[in-house]
Amino acid sequence: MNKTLIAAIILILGALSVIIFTSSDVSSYGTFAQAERSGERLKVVGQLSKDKDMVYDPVKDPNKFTFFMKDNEGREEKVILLQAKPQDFELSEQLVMTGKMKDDTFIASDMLMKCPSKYNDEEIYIRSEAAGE
Amino acid sequence: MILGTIAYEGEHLIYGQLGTLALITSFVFAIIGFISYFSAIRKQKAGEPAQNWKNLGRVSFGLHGVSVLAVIGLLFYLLIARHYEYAYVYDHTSDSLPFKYIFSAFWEGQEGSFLLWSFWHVILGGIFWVNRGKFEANVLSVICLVQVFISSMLLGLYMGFGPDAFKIGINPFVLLRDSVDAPIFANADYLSLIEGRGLNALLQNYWMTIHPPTLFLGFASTTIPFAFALGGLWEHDYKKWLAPALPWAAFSAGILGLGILMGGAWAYEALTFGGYWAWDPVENMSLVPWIMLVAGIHSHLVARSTGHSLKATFVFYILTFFLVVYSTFLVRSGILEETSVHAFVESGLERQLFVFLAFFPILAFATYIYHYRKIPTPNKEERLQSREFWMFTGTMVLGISAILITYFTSLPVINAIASYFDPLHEPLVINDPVDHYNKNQLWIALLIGLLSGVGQWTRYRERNMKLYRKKLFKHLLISAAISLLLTFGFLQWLQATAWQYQVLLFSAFFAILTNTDHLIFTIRRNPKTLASWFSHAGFGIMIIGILASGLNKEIISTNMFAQRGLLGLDEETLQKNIILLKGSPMIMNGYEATYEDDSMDGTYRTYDIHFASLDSNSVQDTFTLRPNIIYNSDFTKVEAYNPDTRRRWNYDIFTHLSGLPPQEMNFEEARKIEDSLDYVLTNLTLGDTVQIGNHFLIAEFDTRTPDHKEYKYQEGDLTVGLKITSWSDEFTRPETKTPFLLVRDNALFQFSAYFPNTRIKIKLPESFADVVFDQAMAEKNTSVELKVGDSTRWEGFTMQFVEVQQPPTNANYEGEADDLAIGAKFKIWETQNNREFNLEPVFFIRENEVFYTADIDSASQLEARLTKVNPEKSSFSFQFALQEMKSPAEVPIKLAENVPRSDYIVLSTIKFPGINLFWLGSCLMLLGFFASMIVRWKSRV
Repeated sequence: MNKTLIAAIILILGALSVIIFTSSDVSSYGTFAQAERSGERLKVVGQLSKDKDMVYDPVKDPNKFTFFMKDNEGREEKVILLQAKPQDFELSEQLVMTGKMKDDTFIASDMLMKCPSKYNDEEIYIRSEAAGE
Repeated sequence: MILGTIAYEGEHLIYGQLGTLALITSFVFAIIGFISYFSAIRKQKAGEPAQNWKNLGRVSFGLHGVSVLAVIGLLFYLLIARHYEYAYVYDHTSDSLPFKYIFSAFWEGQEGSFLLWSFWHVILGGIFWVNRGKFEANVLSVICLVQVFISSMLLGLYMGFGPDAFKIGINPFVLLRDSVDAPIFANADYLSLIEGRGLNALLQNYWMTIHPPTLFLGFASTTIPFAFALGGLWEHDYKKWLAPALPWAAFSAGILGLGILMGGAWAYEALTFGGYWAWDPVENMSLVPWIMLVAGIHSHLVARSTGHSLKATFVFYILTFFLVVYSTFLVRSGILEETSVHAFVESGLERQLFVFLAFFPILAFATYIYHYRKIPTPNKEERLQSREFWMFTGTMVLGISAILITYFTSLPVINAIASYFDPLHEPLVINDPVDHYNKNQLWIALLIGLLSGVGQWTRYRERNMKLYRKKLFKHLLISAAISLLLTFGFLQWLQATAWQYQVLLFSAFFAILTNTDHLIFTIRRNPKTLASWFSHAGFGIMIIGILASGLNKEIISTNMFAQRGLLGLDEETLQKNIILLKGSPMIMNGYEATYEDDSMDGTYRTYDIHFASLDSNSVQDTFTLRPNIIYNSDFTKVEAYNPDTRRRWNYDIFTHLSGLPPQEMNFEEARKIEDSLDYVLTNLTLGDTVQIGNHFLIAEFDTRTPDHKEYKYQEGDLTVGLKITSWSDEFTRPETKTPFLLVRDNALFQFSAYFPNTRIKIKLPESFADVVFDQAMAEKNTSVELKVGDSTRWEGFTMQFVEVQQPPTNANYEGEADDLAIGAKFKIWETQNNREFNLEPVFFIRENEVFYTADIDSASQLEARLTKVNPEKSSFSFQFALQEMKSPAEVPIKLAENVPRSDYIVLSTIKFPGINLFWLGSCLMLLGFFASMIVRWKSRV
């Protein structure tokens, strides 16, 4: 067989084995229940519980932000994010937290926040109200 | 709403109409151009005269180019002139946008970036159009075809009405009132009522002006090698295009690489995530075409020299172009929303983009397969010891790298497809992207390092291996040995505990050494080698820079004495934020930092943070960094946090604010908090220590001009302050602050004072003014102009202007370094009491503002103020005032306790050692491509 063909095949097999061996790096979005069971790091998707307290007291600890979140199964847990409180957090529509479950709290090192998009009409409507006065 | 036609005022519709016409003509002429040039190729291949088709093609492409330039010119005009009737202008500019950001505004939106892409195709194609070379038809036919698709993205043809209308393209000239339904448009004069939304604060910097055009030129330039390849297939010419295409491919790799690197530099300099690469999907998708292009260039070189890897070259260039379109598809479709930190605005063009995406690989690969057998391959296959074999292996490694990155970045697409077939499919996502990609690409980098060394020393069509073997191994082994030594030495500093990183380091040194060795040996014979040295040695240096700044990265903003045990966290969860109280030095990791001051300029607020290194031995290293924040226009939100970096040759110190007190982030919040404070009215006896709750206060009058950030003296101002020294049982160190009242134009202003240690706030109520100023109503005053030595008499006082004092000696005047100050000394004799005393008023200029320090004699209550200096007359103007009041014994104040602190910031500081190696290495790598382009340009025929 052609040497180059052999080389190509070896490398493709290499790539496939990389994909397979790193399968642990990939997982589906988890829930709090899964996090509790496995005790490993995973990503949990959910919504902010806007009716519950959000605590960030930087004078005490600038790297600790506590709030409550509901996952896709509807279970609500306390979350501690090891970062500063992001702006417009209260306006978030969806949160993706990366972390582990510890006792009754989800300790998250990372967060991706989805915010609502701007609505053209509202902006213009509000502006025209103000201008009309 | 009446559905009649309203005659709107102030609109400039002609530009939009012309623009839309130009968009249509650009589309039409792209089609004609393609058909003409393609027919020219077919005629040429058949040996028939093709000149007519070529001429038609030239005219079409020319008109197409003119149309595109017209669209761009019109849109620029509308942006500059701020014609808000156009949706694009409304969305991306505002009245206050500085002119220098108009370019950024142009390509902030999807329409603008499509135009930018189209523009570069016109320019690059224009070069072929002007040169009228042999490959004009080949290249321009493909470019025209690509432009057909890109122009179609900008057509804005709507069929049907409402949200489900079938639309082709978006139109940059759509009117605001046609794209949005709002009641304001019932008003014929709506234009005078609206102002544009403005450019996103994060994009208001010079990077947004230079990064997109460079990156899009990079993308557009990948069309050229693709065009040469595809055009070549159409012409049944499989090898002649190799020579002329090579400099273009090199140019493309250099520019695209530069565009990607600029993105990294922008992220590092202006964003707060602390790095230059995050393996974010958008970043990945611009990197992947570049990797594929580099693979293509290497197989291209082999094909030119030996005829091997010719088929692979076609495949690589087709894939490169495909990946560029795939990248644009992913970014513009918004499917990467959940995995990327970049913001996405859906354009609604998904279906069209998908057609664009599918069309070219299908067309190109079908053509390729059709011609497959006719593409010449050398009889003998590559020898194992030949350069063409090792370079081919290298291209495979690069190809695999591109495929891996694409696969994992496309997980959201795979999820979407899988969910379509199986609604219960659970979407897969990478847990820790940075870790994941680093782990994989480490091996790629390692292999590339080794291969670039071995590849240099092997030779094309190696026929004399027996004789050459000794020399080859000698060079490789010596380089390997030295690399091993260097690796070992470097590891004493580099914190690389994992063996994989150590081997990678070895590979990087190996690449540098073998290439340098090879350069020394061949430069005289073959100076072209310099270009490849730049790229490969540059790659090695870049890898070392990545390892150094990544593995030895240090979080400085951590307080090592913080209690972490409660959460039981592992080392990974590094705390990178620290709180700094204004004026208080804080010990961090290796440095002591103090938040000294901050200043406002429009919506920009800059913070001065002073750093001092904690090295016990060497000279103390001190510096100040100035990160800033940008508020939105009504100060209710912080729009951007901008870092500041201290650059030394061997490390960078990078710092930015991560947070502020809520009152400082949103001034409405500040107002709310202030309103919620419970101010208690109390009376203070002057001069005595008064206890209020847990707090102790001593107060005395202060009649000096207040030194407050928000106060500036104006003629006619009347101010009176109360100097208060306060402490508590808990905080025994006294703090002194001076709240004051200002009377200006019959209005009363209260300036409160905040005591940070005890967290109390004191302000002077209106009744204070009554107590004080009632009696001041009896004040008399007079103004005089005097020269040194003059005397004057007033109200029973004789005042003699004794001398000018420079610098002033008045103890009440607290001078600062850059003050321009002058004092005047008066000897005063009070007739009534036979008293003599001195007054020394001071006049000074600080930071271009005028201040006065009056001087008052407490016994007689005579006050002297130096109001003006008249150099042309050698005289000075003074104001004397006599307050005939007796200081009240008691004054009212208002005191609030437990006021939330607002004098702190949350800071994050990181040290990146060796990061300049990364910039140096990557720049060298790109330089290599440009050098190669120049070299190959000469031999392109």
